[in-house]
Amino acid sequence: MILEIKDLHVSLEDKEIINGLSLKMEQGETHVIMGPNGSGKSTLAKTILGHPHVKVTKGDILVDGKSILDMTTDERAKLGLFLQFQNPVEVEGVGFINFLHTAKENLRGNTVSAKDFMKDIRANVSELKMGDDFIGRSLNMGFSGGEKKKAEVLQMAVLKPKIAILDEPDSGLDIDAIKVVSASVNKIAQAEKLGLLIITHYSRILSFIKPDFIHVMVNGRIVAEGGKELVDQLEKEGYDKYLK
Amino acid sequence: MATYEDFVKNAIEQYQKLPQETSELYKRYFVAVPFELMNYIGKGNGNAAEIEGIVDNALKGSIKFDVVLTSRSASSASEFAKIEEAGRHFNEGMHSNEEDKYVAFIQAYAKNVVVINVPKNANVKLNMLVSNSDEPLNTKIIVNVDENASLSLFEYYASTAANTSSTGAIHEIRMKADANAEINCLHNENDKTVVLAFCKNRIDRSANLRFNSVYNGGMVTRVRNYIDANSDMSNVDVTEIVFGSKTQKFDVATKILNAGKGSNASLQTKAALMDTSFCIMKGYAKIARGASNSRSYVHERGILLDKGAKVDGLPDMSVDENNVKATHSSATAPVDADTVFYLMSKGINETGVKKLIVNGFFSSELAKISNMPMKELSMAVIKRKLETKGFGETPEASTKDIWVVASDVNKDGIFKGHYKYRE
Repeated sequence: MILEIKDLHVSLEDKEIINGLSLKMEQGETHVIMGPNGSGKSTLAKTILGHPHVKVTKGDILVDGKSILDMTTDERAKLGLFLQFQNPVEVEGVGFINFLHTAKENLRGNTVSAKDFMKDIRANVSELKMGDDFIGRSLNMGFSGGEKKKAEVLQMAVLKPKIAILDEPDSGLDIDAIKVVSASVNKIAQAEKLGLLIITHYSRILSFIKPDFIHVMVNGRIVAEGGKELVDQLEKEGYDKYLK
Repeated sequence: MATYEDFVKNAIEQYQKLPQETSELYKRYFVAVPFELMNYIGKGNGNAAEIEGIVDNALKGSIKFDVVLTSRSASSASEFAKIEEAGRHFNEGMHSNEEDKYVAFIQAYAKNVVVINVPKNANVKLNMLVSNSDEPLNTKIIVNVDENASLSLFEYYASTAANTSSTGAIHEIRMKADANAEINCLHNENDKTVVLAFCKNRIDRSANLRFNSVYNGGMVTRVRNYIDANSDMSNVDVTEIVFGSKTQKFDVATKILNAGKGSNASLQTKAALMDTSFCIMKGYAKIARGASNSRSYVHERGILLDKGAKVDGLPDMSVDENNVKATHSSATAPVDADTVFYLMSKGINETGVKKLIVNGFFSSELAKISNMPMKELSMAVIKRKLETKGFGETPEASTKDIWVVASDVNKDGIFKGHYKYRE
């Protein structure tokens, strides 16, 4: 699977957030978008999955050469795109397991045996060092910040996308939790030949997940690209030179 | 002494005289019944065997009905439920002709009364099928639960009307000390039918009444319930689920009263509305003087699944006693765009998202219902409406892909999310 973003311009509530962003990635690659607050990173993630409030004013998003702009959000997910949310919504009354089982059946287009599904869940819950009570709870209701992040990774493990966008996967996690989450992400990426597009402010998670490409995003566009050395440079110098 | 003929004559006069809403509190907020129901009396037919066959076929024998009422016939196969002529009960009811236009209408045109007697210490379960045809069906249901006895009653309301019609039911519930009753009403009439539902009760010391209603069918639904915790240590718990689609209209008014010391009264109403459906939720709680150490709780929630849908929540409370606990709340909101986006981003289509949200919204109320036919058939009609927007047909009672999270209600019956919720 190839995800290609061409000269993308996006506005949100009549304000242009992304202006002229281009990026290309393939399944199996790990790309990282770094940038200061307000640079449009999360808006880019939402745009790729087709959030109803964002408006693409110019440019295109293609999957395997075909535009996905006219597709609904669930149709984009069915292509193999996945978004790990920075702040997952809480949905009262909707059981986490019920939700995930429904999502799995929708993505597959056929019935998923509850027995096999639960086996898969329990294996991943153990991998992510999550408590057993987690399974019976409503979707994200009362989850701590760390539990929410782990729940998103659990979804990724079960739904098996081709390219996953991880929006600040390290925020709200302590160092032990970052290690656990990173190990799971690496394992899924290796097993499923998963493409990763990681959005982050900090380099901390990149100690555990090895990136192939680094993109620096400022004011809605990519201003620098490179390898791991770019991360080291940003650690030393910050984003100042790109903001000027 | 007045005769039954005088009583009926008076009822017809009251029906013609009374306005559709007599309450000063709600006279600006009510759903009008758009035609004179008495014009349809005497029209159409009603075949008990036919409707029973349709419902039995859909349910594949999973629910057996002990009592069957249609517009032209009534039968009971249970020793605990008797069908009696309306005239035998005309002067001993809790409802009077003067109190509401449609109480008077039902009193005037009810042919039969269902009398359910649960003897002391007995434990009885009954299923009742009520189906109107083009001929309006008016029924009075008198429930007597004796000391330390228990009743679980399921009433399923269907309809075969091809033209404008109505179904009207007056419940009068009497419970002796330490009795328990769960009365469940599932309304799934078709779009030709006006639904009229009334209930009053009288319960003795330490009796427990749970009154659960699901309003899924009908063109216009009008509910006026007065559920009282009359005696010391008595408990009443009312749950109302409204699920609307197309142009359905619901006017659901329920008043709960604490009159006994240490009594508990709670009312939870939830409405989920699609298309251009409309619901007024009127929950009113009163704690009477003398009802010390009592607790009262009114909780109204609405979600709007489409732009044209509308909910009016009108909770109210009157407290005339100190040393009581009383809370009330009401909130309605459209389905949050971010919630829909989140669920769709995981691969669930829009219909699937609505199914999840609505089932989740109703799950805590459905989890509280212990009567299995009521629970399963309610979930099935909700599922059918989510998939097709249709109502009025009896779906298979299959709940394969519906999940209810029982833990969403704590031991005090308080919902997760309420500020008083404790595990």
